[in-house]
Amino acid sequence: MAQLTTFSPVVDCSELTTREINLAIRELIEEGGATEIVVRNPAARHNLGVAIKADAELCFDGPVGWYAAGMNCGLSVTVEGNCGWGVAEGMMSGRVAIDGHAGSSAAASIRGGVVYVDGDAGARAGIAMKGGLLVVRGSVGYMTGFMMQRGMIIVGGDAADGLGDSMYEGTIYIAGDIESLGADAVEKDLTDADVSVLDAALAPWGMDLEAKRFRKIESGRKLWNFSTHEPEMWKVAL
Amino acid sequence: MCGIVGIFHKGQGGTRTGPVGDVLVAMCQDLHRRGPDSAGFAVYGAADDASLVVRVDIDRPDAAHAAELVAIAAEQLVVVKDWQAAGRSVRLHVAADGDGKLADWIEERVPGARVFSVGHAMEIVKDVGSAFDVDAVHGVRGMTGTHGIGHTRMATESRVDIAHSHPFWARPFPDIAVVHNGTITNYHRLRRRLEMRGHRFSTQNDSEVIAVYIADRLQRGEPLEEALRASVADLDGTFAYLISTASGVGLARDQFATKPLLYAENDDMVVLSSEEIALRRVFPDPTLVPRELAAKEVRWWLN
Repeated sequence: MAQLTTFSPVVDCSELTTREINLAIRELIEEGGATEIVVRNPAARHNLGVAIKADAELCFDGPVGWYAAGMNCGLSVTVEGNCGWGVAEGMMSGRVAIDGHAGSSAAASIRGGVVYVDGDAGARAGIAMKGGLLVVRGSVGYMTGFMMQRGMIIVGGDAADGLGDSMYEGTIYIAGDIESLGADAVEKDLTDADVSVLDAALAPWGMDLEAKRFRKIESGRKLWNFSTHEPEMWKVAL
Repeated sequence: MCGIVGIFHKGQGGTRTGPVGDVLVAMCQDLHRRGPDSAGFAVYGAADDASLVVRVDIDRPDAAHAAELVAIAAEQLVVVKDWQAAGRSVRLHVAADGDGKLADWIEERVPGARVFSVGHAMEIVKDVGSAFDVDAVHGVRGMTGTHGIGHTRMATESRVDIAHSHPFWARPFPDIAVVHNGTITNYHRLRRRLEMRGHRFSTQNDSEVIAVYIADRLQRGEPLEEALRASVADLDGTFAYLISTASGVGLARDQFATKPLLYAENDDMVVLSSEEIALRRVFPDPTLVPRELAAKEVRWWLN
């Protein structure tokens, strides 16, 4: 997946603390003017490649741990392996592509940019998304899209219980089976506009799925305002 | 938080062994920041039906004297082949205790003594401090076997001492132990039900109830798979736990997927960990790809 060359500057994590790794990345970009950086031996360590505002490419040559590539703006990140919980959390813009599976809470609260997971994503993928796009080629876990507020989630595989639970706005497209929809998540008709959106979103990732096969899940908006006429609904939601 | 780890060597009849202690200590140390209060391990070697290894915690100031009292007390019921004391723990190698009375027998006679491990194949080693600290006192790294589980604890309820450290032995059943990350909120109800069935608890820790719950079902002839599935419905709260028996390891995750647990498997073994970071240092092989358990998922591996 990584397209970086042998001339790219390298940060080797083996002998560095987490703070030193992140500072080294920032210094290479901000002072060295690097546009492509390879991070070697990440060994599933936590909090790598975070809080970077730059138009550069960062490639981890192995698995990363929790909260990788979080709070970034503009950075393009590839991970050659799995990532742990909360990948790309709070990202403003840019791109994160995972060449493996993602743990729970992938793309939590992102405001923009794209997160792509080549394998499966765990529970609460796309929780509280406020914009941006999450694409999961495989399946997603329990309560994916929980309290989503804006943006888009595309799932190539299946979804576990509670898909789109309590989502305010935003859209989930799913090609596979849904174990169950969450509170106030409803299926809506797929329009031609949706098909165009899906075709455009899937193409960069080589996902050869027919857009018409997808189902669209959105908020039923019944939880937006408290209704004394529907106490049962609130019992489930709360 | 808390960190849990495990390793299981696949092999016909449990003939394949490995440096289980070494792997568990290294993995637990990598999860140290998930729980620095205490660490513990249950390691399984070849089962010897004719004898038992028993470990006892001595919660009193005259530990050396009390260790001798424990050995003398045990001699009144079974043949004691040998015994050693390390830190606050006593390890006894005894002839098999036919009627399962040994733990009660020792505790009734030596105030402050608490039996925390009884096994034909299993040996639990646990103490306060980090995994490296526990290894330094008790020599865990040298222990080999077919499989084992480990835990590094962040105490959120009940005391920080040996008795309340994981793994918890499923008293009185030999060879069954649990490590747990989470909180069991219906602990008191489950405990009272199990006590009504005649079981006795060693501690006030909620995790102990999982061990006894599963062991109780296994004793009634239920397969491990069914006991694990039942536990997902019966246990309230948050949990990812590993349960080990003489023949293998099982695991379960709660309905909300609140606590992390990964498994990585190849033809030879299964490795289990709360986080991938603990797996990678010991097993850098990139073809060993861990997967996170789904909500309500159970798995088991038996030789």
